[in-house]
Amino acid sequence: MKNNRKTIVIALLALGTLGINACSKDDPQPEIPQEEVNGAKLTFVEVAGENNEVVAGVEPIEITFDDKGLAPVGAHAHLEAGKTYRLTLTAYDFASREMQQEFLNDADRHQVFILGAPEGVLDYVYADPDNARVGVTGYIHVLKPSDGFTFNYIVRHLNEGVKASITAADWNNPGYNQFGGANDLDLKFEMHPVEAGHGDDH
Amino acid sequence: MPLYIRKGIIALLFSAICSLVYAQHTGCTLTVNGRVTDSDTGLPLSGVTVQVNPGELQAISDAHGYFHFSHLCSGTSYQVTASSVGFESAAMQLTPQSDTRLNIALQHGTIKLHDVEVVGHGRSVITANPVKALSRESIAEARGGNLAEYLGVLPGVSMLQTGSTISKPVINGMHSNRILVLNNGIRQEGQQWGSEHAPEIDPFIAKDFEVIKGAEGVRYGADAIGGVIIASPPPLPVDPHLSGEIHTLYQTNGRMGVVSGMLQSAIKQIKGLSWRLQGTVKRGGNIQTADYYLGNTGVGEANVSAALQYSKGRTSLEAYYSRFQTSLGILTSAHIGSMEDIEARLEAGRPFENYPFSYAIAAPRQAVVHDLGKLKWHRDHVNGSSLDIQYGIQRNHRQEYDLRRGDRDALPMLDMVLTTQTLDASYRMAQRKGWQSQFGTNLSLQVNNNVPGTLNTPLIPNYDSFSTGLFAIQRFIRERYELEAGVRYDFKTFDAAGYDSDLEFYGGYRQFHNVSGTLGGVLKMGNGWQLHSNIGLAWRSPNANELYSNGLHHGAALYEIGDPNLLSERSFKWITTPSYAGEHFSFSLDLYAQYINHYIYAQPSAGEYIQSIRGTFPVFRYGQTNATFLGADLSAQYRFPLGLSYQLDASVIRARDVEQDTYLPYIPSDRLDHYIRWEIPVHGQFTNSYIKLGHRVVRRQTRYEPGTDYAPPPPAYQLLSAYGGTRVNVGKHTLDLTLSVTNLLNSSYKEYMNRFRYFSHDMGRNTSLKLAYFF
Repeated sequence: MKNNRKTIVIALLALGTLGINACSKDDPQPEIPQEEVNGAKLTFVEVAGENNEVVAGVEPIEITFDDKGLAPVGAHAHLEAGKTYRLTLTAYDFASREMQQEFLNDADRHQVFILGAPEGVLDYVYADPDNARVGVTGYIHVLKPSDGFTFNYIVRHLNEGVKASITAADWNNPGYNQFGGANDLDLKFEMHPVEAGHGDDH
Repeated sequence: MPLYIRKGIIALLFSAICSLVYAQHTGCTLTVNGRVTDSDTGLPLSGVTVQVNPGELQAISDAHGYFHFSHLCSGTSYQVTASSVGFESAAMQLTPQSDTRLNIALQHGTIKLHDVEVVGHGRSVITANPVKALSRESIAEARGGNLAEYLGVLPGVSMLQTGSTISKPVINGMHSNRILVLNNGIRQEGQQWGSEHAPEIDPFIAKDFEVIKGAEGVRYGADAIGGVIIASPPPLPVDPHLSGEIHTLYQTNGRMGVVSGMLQSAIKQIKGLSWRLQGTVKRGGNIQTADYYLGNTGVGEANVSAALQYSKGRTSLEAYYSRFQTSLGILTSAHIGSMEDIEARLEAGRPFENYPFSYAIAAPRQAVVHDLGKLKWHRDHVNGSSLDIQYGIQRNHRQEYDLRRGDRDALPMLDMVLTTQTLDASYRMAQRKGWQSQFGTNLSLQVNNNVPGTLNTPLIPNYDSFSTGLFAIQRFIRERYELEAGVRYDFKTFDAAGYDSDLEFYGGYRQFHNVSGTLGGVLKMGNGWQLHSNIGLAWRSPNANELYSNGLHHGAALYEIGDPNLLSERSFKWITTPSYAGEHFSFSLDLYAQYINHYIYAQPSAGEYIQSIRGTFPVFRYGQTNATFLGADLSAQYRFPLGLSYQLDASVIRARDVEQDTYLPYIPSDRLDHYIRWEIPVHGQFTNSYIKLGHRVVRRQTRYEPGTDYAPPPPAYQLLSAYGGTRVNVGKHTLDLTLSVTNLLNSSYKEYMNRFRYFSHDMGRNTSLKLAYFF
């Protein structure tokens, strides 16, 4: 009995001591955050005709955004009334690789909303491949000139089943928050729709 | 109201109370204290069943053979029987005229089982603090719920919820790292700092649920600031006869089914060896509020446990293992990205999405596996003292999934393994002339590692933490009073290392020292009156998240930033409990005052925002202040004739940040539960039959700071509930049936303590049928 007791006590203590000696934290490994989009670019290319062909000789307007979603100070775009522009998104991942295709691959869970324009100034048509209605590519038609405004381009990561309740007419729905989900991108810059012929000269 | 009517009502109330109290003094207020010993050796016998009839009173003798009965009637002739395996049952007549001492010496039975020690050690904790235990009926009604839902019926205990699937117990306004959960004697160590991290315990394992509201920092060490929750399984059997229980239940809300089973026996061939196997499977789908389903609120659980015990002479060795494994969905509608999203949802007051019923669990979700192993050695000495040495190891693997870019929903955002080893030793000396001492030491080693590969910056760093404590408690026990004083010294190290989102190294080594103390007493005034009072000094060091968190809190749309220089919290809690137990009326009133020095909480940092490519988020920073908590918990019961009884539980708490003179967030509002219960007088095979109607009133929390929360607290609400149960006796086996309906009127309401109240309502009507078969 006495021996048994001793053995048990020794075993218990040994187990405890072993455990306490044998454990310390692992060296942490830097985990490169890959969840956030690391930068973006919006490109406006003037198009014309039924097939929206690129108008030759017109420089595309490019607005770039850093990892915090901020455009360079003073960044702005002048679009001309009556003209149509192909608006494309280029997004970059942590390694500065293009990743906008991700939004298209998961088209059922993503949609772009464009906010900020005064009523009746802009029209927008989704133009992604396979009628995906995401907004990585779309056409903006400038209906009339207006005062400058903050153009807000939002890529919404939608909750499951939400996209079915959204139509193409919701492209500028100010109540887009009610389409459950979170924003992958929230990009803002100054836009000024001007009379035709007063293009991007300042 | 005219003054004379008011005076009349007050006079009437007073006379009613006086007559109520007077009624208790007539007759049945005697107590019997006693001790059971072995007639051969004179040693105390624990676990002996002592019964008193009429009255069907029953007590089990504690580790030192003591037992206690109250409310016995003067002049009544009682039959007292004491029985235990291996001993001849003893029976005697007792006609008490005053409070009585009764010593019973049991003789060994004709079947010689001299070496069979009776296992089971009475109440799992001896303290001058009042201990509140869940009744068997409350346990039966709570079956299928989680630990917090079990305990939520006790006054002063509420829940902190994250939607309908995650709830944490709150004791007198304290939760997470400010309370301690003892799971089969081992300090439960999960990632309990998170308000959305529920305790990983299968309540089916435990038979007894106790809550100590006082600060028990001396006995249990750091963190027991607000109280202690003790979930204990029953003792292992000594009888080589296979016994067990099977529980099945179905609840309509969430269409949840649960099956739980337990088998146990002693092994005939190896004297002193006994075992138990237990397991639970749970599956539930989307929860329904009064008006709609909550998308992605399913839950799945699979738990097993095994226990083995070998006893020889006065020594026993116990090995125990349990695994808790859960997968739970988090309300899809709570996944939001920005303050604008929250504001839109607040305006709607309910989710925009309409989801059908489904059992599917998708991201956002949690998957947690908690393993616990325990080895315990216990020795009773001839002089009545005892020694316990216990080693515990826990491994908590928590994975949290969110809606992610690309195909990464299947990749956890958070993947952490927390390993905790504990070694506890305590020596309890036998009572000598009323003096009893207890000494002990606790060692703990905790290691947290983030599993690489989440492609996301970990929320908290890797760390290891070593702590050690030494304590001594001295008790002085007299028939009419008990006094207790204790002192403890703790030392803790905390060594953290991690990389932040800019891939910069952070962390460091910290040391914490602390001396805690406790002073308390119990005054047994006779006639059923008792007074408990205890003042406790407890502490806790800051958690990893309070020190180092630096990231977006998804689901709350805020950015939390820790402070690596935080100091330890020190708490002084004084709790005084007058109680009375009479034949018809009983009550217990906990009055407490708590002061916490260096109270840690996250507060909005004025005007500070973090700009990200997803939007702008307000910043909350962890800071320290001094806080006070004042409160009262009342539990009262009146037993009418004809089996009718009335129960009332109420609690109020007032908490303030005294440094800034502001209210603290997430403090439960005033609440009252009352029940009317009827014990149905049915006979024959049916016993314990009852029906019960409950009513809960919860006031709106009016004590909050506007501007520190997205929305003001929700309005007051009332809920009705109904319960019924019976026990069918089939030979030696019994079948318990319990039917319960909560939120009977299917009311639409929101609870302030539910962190998802921004997005949705609370659970609608829920009917559940529970069957429990004991064999």
